[in-house]
Amino acid sequence: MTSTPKAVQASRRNGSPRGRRNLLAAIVFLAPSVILIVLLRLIPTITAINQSLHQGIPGSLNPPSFVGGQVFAQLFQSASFWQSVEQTLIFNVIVNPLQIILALALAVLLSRGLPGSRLWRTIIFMPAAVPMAGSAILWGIALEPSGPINGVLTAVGIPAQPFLTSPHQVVGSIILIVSWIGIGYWMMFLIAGLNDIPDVYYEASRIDGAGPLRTFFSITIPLLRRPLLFVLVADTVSNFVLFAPVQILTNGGPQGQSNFLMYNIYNQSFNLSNAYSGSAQLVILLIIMIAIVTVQFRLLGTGEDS
Amino acid sequence: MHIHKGVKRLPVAGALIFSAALVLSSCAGTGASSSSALLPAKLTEPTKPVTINYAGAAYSAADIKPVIQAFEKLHPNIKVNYEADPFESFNSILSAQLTAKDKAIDVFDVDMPRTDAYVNRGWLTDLSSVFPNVKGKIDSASLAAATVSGKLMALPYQTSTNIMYYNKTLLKAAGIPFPSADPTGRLTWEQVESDATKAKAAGAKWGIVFDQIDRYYQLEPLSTSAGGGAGAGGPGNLTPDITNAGWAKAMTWYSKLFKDGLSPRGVAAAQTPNLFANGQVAFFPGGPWWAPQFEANKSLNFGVTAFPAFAGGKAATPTGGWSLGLSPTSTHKDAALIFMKFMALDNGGYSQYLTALAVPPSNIQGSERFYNSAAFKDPRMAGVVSLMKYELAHTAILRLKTVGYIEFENIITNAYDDIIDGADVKTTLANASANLKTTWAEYKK
Amino acid sequence: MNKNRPIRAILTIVAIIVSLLFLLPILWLLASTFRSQNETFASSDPINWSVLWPQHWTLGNIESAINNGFLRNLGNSILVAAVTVIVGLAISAMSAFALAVIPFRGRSATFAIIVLSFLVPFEAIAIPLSQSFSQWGLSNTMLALILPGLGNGLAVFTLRQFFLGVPTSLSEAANLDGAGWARIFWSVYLPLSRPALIGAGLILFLFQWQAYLWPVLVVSNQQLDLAPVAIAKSFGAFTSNYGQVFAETAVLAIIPAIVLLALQRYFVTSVSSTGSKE
Repeated sequence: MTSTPKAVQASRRNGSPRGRRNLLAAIVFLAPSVILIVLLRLIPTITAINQSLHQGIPGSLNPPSFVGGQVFAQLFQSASFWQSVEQTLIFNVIVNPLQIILALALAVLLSRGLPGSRLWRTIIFMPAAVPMAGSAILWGIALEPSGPINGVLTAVGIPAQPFLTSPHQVVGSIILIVSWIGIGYWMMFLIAGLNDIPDVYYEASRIDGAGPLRTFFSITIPLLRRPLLFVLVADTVSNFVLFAPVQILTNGGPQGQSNFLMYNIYNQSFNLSNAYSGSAQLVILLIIMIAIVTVQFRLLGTGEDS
Repeated sequence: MHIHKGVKRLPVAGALIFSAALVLSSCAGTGASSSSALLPAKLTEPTKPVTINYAGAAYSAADIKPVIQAFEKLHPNIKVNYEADPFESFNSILSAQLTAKDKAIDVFDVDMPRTDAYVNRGWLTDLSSVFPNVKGKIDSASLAAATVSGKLMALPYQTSTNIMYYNKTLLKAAGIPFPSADPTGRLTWEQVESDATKAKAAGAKWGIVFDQIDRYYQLEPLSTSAGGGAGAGGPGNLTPDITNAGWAKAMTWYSKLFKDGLSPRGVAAAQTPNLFANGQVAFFPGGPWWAPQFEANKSLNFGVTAFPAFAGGKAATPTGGWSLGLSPTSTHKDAALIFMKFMALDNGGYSQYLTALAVPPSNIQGSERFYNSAAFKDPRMAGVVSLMKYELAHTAILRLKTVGYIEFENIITNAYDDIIDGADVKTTLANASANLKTTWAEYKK
Repeated sequence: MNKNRPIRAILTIVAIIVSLLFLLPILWLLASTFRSQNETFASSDPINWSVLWPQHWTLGNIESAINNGFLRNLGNSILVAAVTVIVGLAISAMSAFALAVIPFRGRSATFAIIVLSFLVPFEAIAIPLSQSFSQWGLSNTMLALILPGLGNGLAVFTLRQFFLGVPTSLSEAANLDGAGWARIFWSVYLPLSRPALIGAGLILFLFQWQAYLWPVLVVSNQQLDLAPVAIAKSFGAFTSNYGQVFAETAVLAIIPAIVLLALQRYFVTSVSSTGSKE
């Protein structure tokens, strides 16, 4: 049983005329999006990194002065910065596995041909299409200490919870909100991946007498590796750069517990016009993300070799 | 569908154009122009048609339309292009747009307490020579907010004041006498708290809800009335002063409202008027601009009284609003100034062309039309006009005047939120104070 | 298929319950669209069914949205999203194909650049980028709204992952037949990739559908305002129209759901069901 396709190593070692033709083809195929990505993402990033080495009056029309690593040094001395890093990591360590496991569970459930599956998928996906501002306002009202969710809790005998107004529950509440938004979205990618697993594997597994759990771990997961890598990386990145619910609902509070790095970056650059501190924190956020994504690629492979 | 086709081919072509543009622009250099050149004392009407760009957040495009139309009728050579920006993100948009080169904003709304910060950033032009005699024509608090180091840096056009609404049905049920609308009948915050407790016990869902529940605009008067001041002192008001006894007293009082369940936690400022409009709130210190919404609920029986003060403390009420600023990079300064003059000064200013007025104009002559608003004729608003006139003249206090205001507002709002959510008042204020100190260090250099 | 009937029934019930949980907030949004904002805020405590069912139905919120020009904003959002999806899919699929199928020197390095690009939060670079756009003279144009949505590394990434799963025997066979890369891309890979294209399309679409900060930075002309910007403008300095916000938000949530429901039939088309297995 040959599983996934072989890599294209062989043709890569081919003679140079063919290699040159391939290179030319690759350039033509890549050019439009790579040029846009370089111009609209990477060059502004370099500008931002450069800004992190400068300092000046926030928002001033006068040019800033070069200060080297001074902005970073100030950050490293600030307790609220370290709290921000810590909360960012705590939030991500919980939210990413949670979303992926639930998205995977729902994807498996809704790709079994149950009646109405298309409708259920669409409904679960819907929250992703609600504009962030709208969904944050909605959840802000739902989670109010005297809002509808607490209404339900007290109706079944559970005391009302403070949710977003408590330093101990705010991270959990934001995880709830972003999971409502994200799970259905990531589920769609996993469903597409599940549909791509040829039925023969499941048939073979059934003939071997494997139960559903063993089939899941020995067939589904290995054959789902590529879409799973995508969802893992993309979900992690999207949660690291998330700030809209924080901006609308908590402004980083209570007591700095939801002051995630990306919100801080937004607050510094948009509210306070302080591009210098904002950029410095962006550099740190990027370093953290690069480290994590590298580990994820190591764990699941780049997808080329398997 | 030809649009799609056109755009489809764009990426490749566009990318080439961009790479060229990038090379060119990096050679062009920046060089922000400064505004040292003095403006002419006489304004000359343009002889050829010009268009000025006005970025605003106080009014929607639809609301301001009649004003712009009236202006363009009087000044046929000047067209005004109004850009309404979302209120919540206006200040951040402004900072991006003023530094952008091709947008060329000529005139923009200036949130009054930010005037000093904007001057420090080089965003504003000195208007003293163009408008030397505005004293007496414009409300004095507005003028003070727009004046930096003795120079008029922005032209105020609209201000505000606060009153306290009360729900008669809820007060009656609790046996609380209705307070009068006369400033001499001003309640103390201590009294309001005890009445709010009674009202809640008698069935009100909330005893008291502040309109701007976590905003410095409305909470500063608490600290001032308790003797704590605006929040900073020293040169340039850059030394935080929020850990004094007055601030502690005011914030402890405010914190208790939420601990005792008299005020709701977790409610956004934009939502609070709905609570009063629904008849759930006994006392609602707030802006007169909510009157139309409250009056729309025919079964809501309410009255108004003065914004309270602490027992033994001085009366202090919120004030301030919007000024107009002239961008130093404007290429149509004369036309822009003619427009600003029209908005703030000519015949009482912009307010005479608005269909409904939410807040008083800074122009004293123009404010009569505000006081005659239909919203204040409702019997439930009885006494509000003379009350507002009194507050604006006697008790209105400006927000902290400092180049570091933007950071101050940011940090103090978070502190208010923490206090509302039950954090220890003294620790919260001490942390905010330390935070301010580091943040303001850049300005003290 | 019928031998596990009870299990399938249980699983169906689970699916329905989960869907309802996800749906509840949206039902509340819909209910709030059709009642006054006063009623919306009055009816949540103590909890009862009127939270999800208007007592006094009104079209006032929808009317006020339309009077505020929301249809125009919606049209702008649809146009920007549609162009972004069509052009974005074309160029993303092309790069993904090169990264997954064409062997060439520098492939890993190019892929690394793509990955790096989607790690950068767009909002963090929006201000410097908007200044570049204004220098390029692109402020207040549809193009300025569309362009940032096109260079989307995530869309390239997801398509690459899918293309890697297509058996290489297919392209090798085509290659032997003398087909060039363009033909292999067009007649072998694209027809197999509908589910993946829908996924990448979602990424491209939602970037624009949710766009708020970028549009307010590069567009000041109201005629070009996108729907989320129009929603934000419902909160003025002296007004807050929650009812209108709910109505507009509900419309924005429902349109993509309908499109997605219609596209679902393509979700079953995949490599495995085309019969071209290794």
